[in-house]
Formats: sequence, C-alpha cells, structure tokens
Amino acid sequence: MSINTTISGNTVVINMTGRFDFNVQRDFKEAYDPQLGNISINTIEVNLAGVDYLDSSALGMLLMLRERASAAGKQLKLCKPGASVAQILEIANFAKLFTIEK
Amino acid sequence: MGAAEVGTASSLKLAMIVDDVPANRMVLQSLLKHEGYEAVTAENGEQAIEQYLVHKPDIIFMDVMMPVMDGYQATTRIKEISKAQFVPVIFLTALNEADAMVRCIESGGDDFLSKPFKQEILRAKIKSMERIRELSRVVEEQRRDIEMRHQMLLKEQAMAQQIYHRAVTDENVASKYIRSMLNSASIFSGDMLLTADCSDGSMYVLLGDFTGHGLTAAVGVLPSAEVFRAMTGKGFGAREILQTINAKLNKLLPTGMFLAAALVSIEAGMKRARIWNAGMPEVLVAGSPASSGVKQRAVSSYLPLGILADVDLELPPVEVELEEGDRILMCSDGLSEAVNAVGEAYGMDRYEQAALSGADGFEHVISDFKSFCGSQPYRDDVSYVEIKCMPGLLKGKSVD
Repeated sequence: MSINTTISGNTVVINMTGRFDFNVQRDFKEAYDPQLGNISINTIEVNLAGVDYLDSSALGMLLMLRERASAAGKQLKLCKPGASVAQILEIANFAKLFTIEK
Repeated sequence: MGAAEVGTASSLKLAMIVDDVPANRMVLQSLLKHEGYEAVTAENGEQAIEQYLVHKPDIIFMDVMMPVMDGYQATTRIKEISKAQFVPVIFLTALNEADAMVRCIESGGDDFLSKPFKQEILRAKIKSMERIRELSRVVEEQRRDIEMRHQMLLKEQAMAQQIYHRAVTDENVASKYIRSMLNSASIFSGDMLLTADCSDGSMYVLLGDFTGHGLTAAVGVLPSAEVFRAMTGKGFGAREILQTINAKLNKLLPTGMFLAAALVSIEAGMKRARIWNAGMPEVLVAGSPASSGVKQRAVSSYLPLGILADVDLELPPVEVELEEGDRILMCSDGLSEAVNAVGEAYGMDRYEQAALSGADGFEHVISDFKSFCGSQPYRDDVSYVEIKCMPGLLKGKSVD
C-alpha cells in the first residue's frame, strides 16, 4: 500500500494504492490529519482507483475520516472505486453515508 | 586429571582448564585463584565434555592441540550442549597463526589467551567475558519472562473465551437443522451466531460480523447477545431488535467499529421467512432438491449496525415463501475473502456452487472451502450457517 497526497485548488486528493486494510491505519490518518486544519481546503477526496482490496477495518477508517471531516467542516468524497471495492462499499451501503463518485 | 574437590556451596566461581600439559594447568590454576576462581581440569577434549556436564563451569580455558579430542571439537560440542546459556570459551594459543584463530572462532570460541600467561591480561579477559555472560544471562531471563507472560496471556484469553462462549452460544437453540461453522482468526471471534425460539412459535437466527477480529472485535458480542435474548424472549419484532442492537452498539463502540448482521426470522408454521441484511454477504435460500437452485437472494440493503445513532430500517425485509427442505444459507465475508496459497479469494460464486452441489450442501461447502484454502491461515473470522426448513426446526407447531 502506498499513499500520496496532491492538492489542486481547494481540494486535497488522497491517492490510495494496493491493499487498504488495518496495516495502513497510521499512514492513512497521517495523510488526512494535516488537511483537517488547513483553511484553504474545503474538500477531501479519497481516490480509491488503485485499491485492489479493502477490508472492514478500512471501512472503519473511512467512517473515522467522515466524522473528523464533518467536524472540521470539510466535504468528503470517495472516488473511482474499482469493481471489487465498489462491491464492498455497496454491501456496506456506504452510499447512504458518503458521496461516492464513479 | 586433577578433579579438584569443588564444594558446591562454595561462593567461588568455577573455571575449567583443558590442557594436556600439566605445567600449563598448574600455572593457570594458580593465576585463576587470584581472580577468585576455583578450577577443575581436563587433559583432552573428551574429558572436557565429561567435566563440563558434571561441573557446569562459568568459564572454560581450552588448549587447541590435544590427544584423543582436540579443542575445536570439544568447544563445538560444549556450545551445542550449553545452548541458550552463554559459557565463554577462551582458547589457549600462541596467537601467531591466522588460520588457527579463525578455526577457534568458527568452532565457537569467544577469545584467546596467549602463552605465557600474564595475570593482568587474564584479569582483563575474564572481566570482559563476565560482562558478556551477565548480558546474555539477562537476555535469556527476559526471553523466558516474555515467553511465560505470553503463555499466561494465551491461557487467560482461552479461559475468557470459554466463559464468554458459554454466555453467548449455550443459550442458542440446539437443533440438528441449524448447522454452523465458526472459525476464528485468533482466540476470540468477532463473528457471532445467535438463535432463539420465540414465544409465538417463530424462530430468529442472527449471524453477525464485527469490524476486525480478535479481542477488540469481540467486545460487542456480549451486549448484542443480551439485547437479542431479552427482546426475542419478550416477543419483539426483528426491526425493533435490530434498532435496539444498533443504538446500543452506537453508544458503546468507538467510531469505525460496527456490526454487519443478517437476521432471519422464520414464522410460526414455517410458511414464510423474512431476511434483514445489514452489511453481510448475500443470504441465499436454496430450494430442495439442491439442483433446483437458489430461489431467493437477500442482498445487503441496510447500513451495518452501530454506525449511526438511528439506523434507517424502513425498507421492508426480503420475504420468502418456504417449502419443506429449503435451506437458508448465511456466511461472513471471511469466507468469501479467504485466500489460497497463490492469493486467490474463495469468492461468492465458488461458495454458491459448493452449496448447491452434493448430497449434503453444508458438508460440501466446508470440505470445498478447506481444500481450497489448504494450510493458509485465516486472516479474518470465517463463519457459515445453514438452516434447513424441516418439520421439527421450530419448537412450536411445525408445518402440517
């Protein structure tokens, strides 16, 4: 798993690749934490295009980010999930909680 | 061989001198006495091993060339025997041959002492060896301590797990028509199966999967089971039960932890079942015979429990008309996501195929799954449940 962050305008994109599971908990948090207090950012996008596996603890991390982003007044989007990740998000009915962009 | 009288109660430290020349032994013995060491002696490698086993000396001085068995062989053997305990071996050499020095170290030797022996050098070497010996003693002690604590922890967890399982599963309905496999990735399982007969003759079966696995995943099991027992006992409906478990878990669990759950309620008379799926893989209803295929699927249509304070369960559950011999099949994602040696996932398609083939679908899924995974350890808790709709499944009136 590798995580890198890019900023364009008011949006920060967190690019995830590989396995999104318990092992990246810390790295994922470190990727979004500094952006929560960044006043020039109003939207956080998690780019899931490169993720080939996502487990329930990753869903938990997304829920945590959702709570933190909402407290900081930022928009949150999950973007470009591949087929297998989209299915996991669908089973969890996360479309009820997140904006998911194909 | 001057097997000295070594009082075991002596506070003196014990050295062993291995040398075939009596004069060398005597000189070294007297020098060692000044450093607070008593000494046992041996004339060759073979005697050295025997003496080592009897006296377990703190330090060994080893000549290289000796009759019967040389110092290299004896050192290698002694190091094998002493294993984790560090017994320093100092070779007695002339120190002018590089090859010999290399062989000394390779055979397990720790240092050299050249002849003729000098008191100050001997003292320095002993000090340095004592330092290493102490360090290795501490490391070994800590290793044992960690090992002991680890064993204790495992024992405690196993015991807690037993108590805990008694509290949860012993209350379950015992019926030959409900069969289940629950394999946990660690001692504690975050998957749970709850079953109950209700006073109105209906039956509830809930299969749940908490986020993650191990002890942290298992903390939500007990409160969920309590709610389930209390409410099925009082005749509450499925929606209220799920809502109450949701509210309780939302209050109890930290953000990011939740419960995926599928709840099946089978009506008294066994004519109809309702299936609520909140975040679990598809629940399948297979007709009878198995070759008739899947007659109904219940995909996840609700959020997993515990995420929101007030979960939306307004959507009606999947309803299915039951016939005798129908099988309701539930599994956790640990089953579909389990991988084999080459990293390929078991998958829902393979699971469905296995469940629908063979005379006994339940056994067939288990053997198919186990042969697929081979010896790969489970990354997640794996569960699989089959409810067979047969007369006698329900406690109340069965189907006429």
